[in-house]
Amino acid sequence: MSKVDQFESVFRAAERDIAEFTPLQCSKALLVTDLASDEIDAYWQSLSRFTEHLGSLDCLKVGKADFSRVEETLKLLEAHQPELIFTYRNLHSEAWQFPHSLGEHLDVLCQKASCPILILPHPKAGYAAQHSLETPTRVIALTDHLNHDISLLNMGASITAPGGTLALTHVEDAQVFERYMSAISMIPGIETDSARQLIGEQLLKSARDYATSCEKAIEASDLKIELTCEVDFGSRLEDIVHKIESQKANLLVMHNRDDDQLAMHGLAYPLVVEVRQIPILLF
Amino acid sequence: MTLPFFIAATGGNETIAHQPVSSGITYLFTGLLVLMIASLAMEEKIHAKKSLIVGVFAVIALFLGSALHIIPFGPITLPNGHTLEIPVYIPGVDWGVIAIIVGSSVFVDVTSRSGLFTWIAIKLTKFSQGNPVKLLWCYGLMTVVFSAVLNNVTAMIIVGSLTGVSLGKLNMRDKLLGFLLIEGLLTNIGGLLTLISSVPNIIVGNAAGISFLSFFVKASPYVAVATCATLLLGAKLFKIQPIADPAEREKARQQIQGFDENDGIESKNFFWFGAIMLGLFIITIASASALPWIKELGMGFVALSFATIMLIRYKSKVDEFYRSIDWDLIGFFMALFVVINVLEHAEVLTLIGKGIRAMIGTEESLFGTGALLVASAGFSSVTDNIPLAAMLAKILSAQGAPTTSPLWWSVVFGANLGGNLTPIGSASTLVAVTIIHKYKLTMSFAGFVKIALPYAIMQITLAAAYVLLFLR
Repeated sequence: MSKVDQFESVFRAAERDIAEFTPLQCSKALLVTDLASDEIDAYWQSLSRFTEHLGSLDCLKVGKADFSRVEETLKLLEAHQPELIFTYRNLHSEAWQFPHSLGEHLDVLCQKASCPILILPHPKAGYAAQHSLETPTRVIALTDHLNHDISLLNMGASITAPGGTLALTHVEDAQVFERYMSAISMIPGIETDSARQLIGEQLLKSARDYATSCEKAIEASDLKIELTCEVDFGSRLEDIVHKIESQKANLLVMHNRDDDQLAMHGLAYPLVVEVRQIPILLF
Repeated sequence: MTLPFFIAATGGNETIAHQPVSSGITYLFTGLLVLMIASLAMEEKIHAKKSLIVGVFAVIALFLGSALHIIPFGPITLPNGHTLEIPVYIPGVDWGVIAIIVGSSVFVDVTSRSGLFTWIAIKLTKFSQGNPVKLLWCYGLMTVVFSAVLNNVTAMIIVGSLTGVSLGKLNMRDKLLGFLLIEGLLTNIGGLLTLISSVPNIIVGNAAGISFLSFFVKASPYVAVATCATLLLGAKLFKIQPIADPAEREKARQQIQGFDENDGIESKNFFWFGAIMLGLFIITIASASALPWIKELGMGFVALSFATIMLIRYKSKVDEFYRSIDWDLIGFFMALFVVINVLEHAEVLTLIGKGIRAMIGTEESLFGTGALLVASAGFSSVTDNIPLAAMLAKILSAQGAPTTSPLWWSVVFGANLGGNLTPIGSASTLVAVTIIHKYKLTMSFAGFVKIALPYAIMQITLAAAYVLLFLR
């Protein structure tokens, strides 16, 4: 019956998801900071170029005095029901000086909030890239976690300013691939060279097919953004960080939640910890 | 087409002439035949491949035939008068049939790499716009045409695998059982369309001297009617209806448009080359009996030649295609021809011929023709239809049935349609059941018979009426 499987594979490979762009709805926003009340408006003002293309936002701005414990943060969330959250790492903490954590508030928010979260560089830290709060015209969207997830396109394209470029980026983990290839090389029934070639090609093809569906969706919409696709094998963290730097990207968009677990999924956490110089949109 | 097998049957080769045998020997070999057929029927139970089962019986038959002095040993005389020393089991094999099967399967295998068949399959899927009724008709017609042009097993594999994927995409897995079962039943209808659509057709057609075109002209009206009747009955019994809700209909249409028919096409040039070669293959096979030089070389030559031309594209890895040949099927045929050849020398075929003559009478009668069709269907529903076709073809040849005799058609229709009575009746229905099980759907032997029986009765009744009314 190997031929049934052979033809099923051909037909499955021919399946494409028809993507249709749906813009992100965000009229209500929540800015969560640990700034003093007289600093909050100035900080919000500093984000104006970054947020102006999103239209007028009804934004509740929260400062140091409004909360201190995680329960209070969650109460704010429940009371305001925002469609987009702006915040940064290490709220109510000095740990921002050490680039090793998110802080307990952001950690919980990332898991608990049902709306997207835009993580900004810490206002006191000096590591923010110069272009980090400019109009987001160079946006990288990671397709890594969920191929065929239309929400990535919706988020990425909605947040990219008109005239900007949204780079759908997929880095297939070369280390994991090599580990499987090593296992395959020990199985006499599977031809190692052809497995390497065919599996490698298929992994990249799936990501390219997704990008093609997204291109069609953007063409069909009235968005004035350019969509590019970058798909390759590599070291996920290193290569993504390199792409962010080399392209002078001013926003990274990625999915961070799995339905079946509370913690962030594998790649999201290290990226959110390490990519501190530009904003990251998590959803 | 002149084949060594039939030369032997008509006494054209003196070295394999019949010798008188005692009735004890005839009954001994009849017992061997019954045992072989029973073993084939229990193929799944004894977990042995057909080629091995029949191979074992070929070894026993040859050994007994030699020990009991019923096999005539000696050199083979060629048409130019030269003589050849070849093993006694070689001339018994119908190499013309083997050449057609090997050539066609390699040709189809290489052509499928062009993406042609998947392109057609996806185009038809998109044409249906996700409407279950249209999808059933598209897949049904595709099954019939693919069974006729390729072979019924390949047709079932292609259409069955697409059905699983497309109904999954449309969230219509509840209709999968009905679709697969109807497609399985239609493979045996499609297998009736041309002389090369199924092995019984090739064997009987060759023995009767029916040309490709004549076969097609006579079989196609039945195939058209039986296909429509099966699809209508299938849609009714499995409650396959159009989607009523306009929003759901639009959603299904969009989902089905997501298939990319060009995905499997590696090279546009090879795609078109494959399409042209397939067209040429059908035309050449259809006209092989009338084409100068080719008519002497036969359809096996045509099939092997087209396979060779297609293989040039993959010249450095032709061994991949050799590996994909169904050697179990080829081994089965060769061993079967050897067994039948020995049975002929043991006068078993003469004995069965007498039985058939008793059933159908010496003159062609309505009852006899119909009875042969129904008996062939019943017999091929529980065991392989190829030994049946080979044996009956040999018997009818020996009895001097003319090309125009409806008895040939009784065998053709009976042997093909009998496969729809049980899941083991034909290789393609077995493939359908295997796909059904692959999708974790329940389908027992009795369950299949219960569901397939109304279709099979309708198809066999239609066939009997058609043969008696139009082919006599």
